[in-house]
Amino acid sequence: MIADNLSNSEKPDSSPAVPSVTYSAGISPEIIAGLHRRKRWDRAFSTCGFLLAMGALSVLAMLFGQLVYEGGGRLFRGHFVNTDGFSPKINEIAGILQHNGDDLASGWELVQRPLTIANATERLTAEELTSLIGKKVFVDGDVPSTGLSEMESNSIAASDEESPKKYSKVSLHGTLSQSNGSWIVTPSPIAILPVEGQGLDKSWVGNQVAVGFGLVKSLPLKTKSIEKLSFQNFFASKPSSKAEEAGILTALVGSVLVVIVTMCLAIPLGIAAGVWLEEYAKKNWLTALIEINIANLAGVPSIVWGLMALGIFVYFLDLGRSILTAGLTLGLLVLPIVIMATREAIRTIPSHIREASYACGATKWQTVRHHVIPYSMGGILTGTIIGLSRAIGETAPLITIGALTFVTSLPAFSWSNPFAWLNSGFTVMPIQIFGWVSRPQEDFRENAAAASIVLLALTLALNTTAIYFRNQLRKKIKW
Amino acid sequence: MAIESAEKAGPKKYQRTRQGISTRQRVMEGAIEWALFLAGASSIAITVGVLSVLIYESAGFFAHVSIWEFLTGTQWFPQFDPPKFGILPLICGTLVTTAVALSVAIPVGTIIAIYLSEYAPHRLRNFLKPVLELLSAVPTVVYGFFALSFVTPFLQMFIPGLPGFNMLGPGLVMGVMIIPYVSSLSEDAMHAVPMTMREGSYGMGATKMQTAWRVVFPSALSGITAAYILGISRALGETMIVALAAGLEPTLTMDPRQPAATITAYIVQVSGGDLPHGSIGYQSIFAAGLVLLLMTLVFNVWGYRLRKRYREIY
Repeated sequence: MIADNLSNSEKPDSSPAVPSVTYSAGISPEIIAGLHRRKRWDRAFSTCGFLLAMGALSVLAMLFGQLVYEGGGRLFRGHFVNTDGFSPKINEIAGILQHNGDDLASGWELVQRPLTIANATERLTAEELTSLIGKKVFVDGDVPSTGLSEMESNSIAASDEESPKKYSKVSLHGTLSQSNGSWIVTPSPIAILPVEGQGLDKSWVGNQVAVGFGLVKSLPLKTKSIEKLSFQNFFASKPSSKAEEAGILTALVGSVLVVIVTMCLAIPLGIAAGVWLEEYAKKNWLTALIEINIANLAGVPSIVWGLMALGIFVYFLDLGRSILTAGLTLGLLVLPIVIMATREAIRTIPSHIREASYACGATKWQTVRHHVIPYSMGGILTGTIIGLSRAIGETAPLITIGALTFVTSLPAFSWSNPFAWLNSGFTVMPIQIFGWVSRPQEDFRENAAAASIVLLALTLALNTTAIYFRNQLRKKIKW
Repeated sequence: MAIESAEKAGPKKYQRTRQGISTRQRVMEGAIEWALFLAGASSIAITVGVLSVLIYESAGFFAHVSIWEFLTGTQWFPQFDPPKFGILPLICGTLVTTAVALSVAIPVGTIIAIYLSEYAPHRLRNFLKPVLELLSAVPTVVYGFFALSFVTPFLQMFIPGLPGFNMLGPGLVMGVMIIPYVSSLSEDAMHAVPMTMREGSYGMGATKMQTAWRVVFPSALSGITAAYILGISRALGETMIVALAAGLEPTLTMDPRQPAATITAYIVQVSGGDLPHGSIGYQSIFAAGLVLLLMTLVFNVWGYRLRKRYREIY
């Protein structure tokens, strides 16, 4: 039958055969041509398969590349905050504190960072600017929200001319220079007079500070307040309405807490159910029902879990839109994964292990506890890690139960009520990303990309660990 | 009585009744078996919970909107006055994105599966298979962002006039996400085909490709179909990619270049806002969820049966 099929239904191919190999006499040239043709198809198909596999993987690479391109820089860029965690106010000027001389009452200077002027040429011609290179200039402009290093200039004028008429958000007095085609203003140091009792000493020198000025218009400026600033990166920042100050701290903490609850539910329940199905369950309709039921639960769309949680956990049990609700929801979602991993792992244990245990007088539970579960632990762990990575990346059910995209405070922890954090509102990494992507401002896209890198790296790391475990197990265990 | 004598007879640790096991132990064994059974049976309770919530809230919804109007209406405007609840636009959006995804995932997944099972050297296969599975491990919200910020702008270079939100971009990304479901399960099924069948084909002078398509593929067909069905059910239930990149306008269109809302996207959109508990809008997401669950359930049961069958053949 098969032979018939093979010889009769050749694919027609118009390209001529390449009779490079000589066959023994008696084989007709048509057969040889057909052989070549078939081999060519075969090679082409093999290449096609390999290329498609590589193509699929290249999507992963493109995904990562796109994320790094859009948000890679954001991971390492932070902003300066004062001791309370707030960035300098609008009427404060941030810069590095310097001190010349020995007298602590004078000689203090504030050195600001150089600013790049964006699209200056729209308002001023290059010739006009070139003539100002190296001269002291006044710049008036707006600092766009993507960072302090760029500034959109509204006006720029040599300082010996009359003072600029238009006052906008930032005005600078500094030296103009040009490098690599972009215009840079290095601000002149601002001399400041410290106010008595501010406790300025030499240890502050070289630090980033924010200075609020008193209402003294003539130089030297008198400080009203001065605060030491510290650098805060993307990971340590809380959400903010300003893209450059927003970070993923609360989302990361929320993800960790939710996943802890998830695993506390899914691991014991999943292992118990898996053990029961493999070791205890008799072959009857109930077992069959539970089996098909679990297989179906694994295929339930994640958003349906969210609806279930909204109906039961949030409203019926009145657990609120809390970490507990989120953890339980995801716990039920990954439960089938843990059950299936447990069953697969237990199935690989040969029955003679159990029989040996029974022969020594062990009871069923003793056999399960001392042999079946320990030997299948590797497989269970692999499945659990996969479930964990699924739980970390899951978004839809948490949106349904009402995760917040703007959580500025971490869940409180106190020893008197160590489980109070379970009831607090939460946000998690995927929700934070979703919140940022859905914002209309373009600036938040960069944050979303940066947070996506973190989330993607987390899940891929977890999955790679699981693959590694699985391979190790396969190598190690030979019954 | 037997226990008492046993206690006298030896150290407590080794006490055994005539049956070989102490009563305490037997009670514990029974209790543990019950506990494990309850864990196993909890899955049924969960299913009952899911179904009862969906049905209860949907019943409230269908008290206001007739089932006929719901299933045949072509307009979905929950915010209008009076609101219009015809789910066809949402179903249509779901089916179109699923179709786009499958048109990528099924051919690519199948060819990759054949390559892995029939052509790839053993070590390459052991490396490629888990690495390909990483594609389905990527969080879907990240995929959604990718579809929105890369795939759609990329497609716009070739398809002039493609809106920023469309079903094509997210559909393609969803297809890539589903590739591992199709390829891994199909590969498993093909791998289970006995070597003797291949050897018979090679013995007749067939090439690997002919063997793969005419012997291995038909033999593993039920397993492969199960893989396809799993892919379909994934695509139907996928949420974040379409919610982010396909737009949220419920439009009744078969054109994948148009923006449209899927069932899942509608649920996300509505539950993102703060809906009053018990309102018709709140109930509508449960009705939509019920439709989605039933759609996937059909495919899941079908796929489960096919998987069972192919497991029993060899």
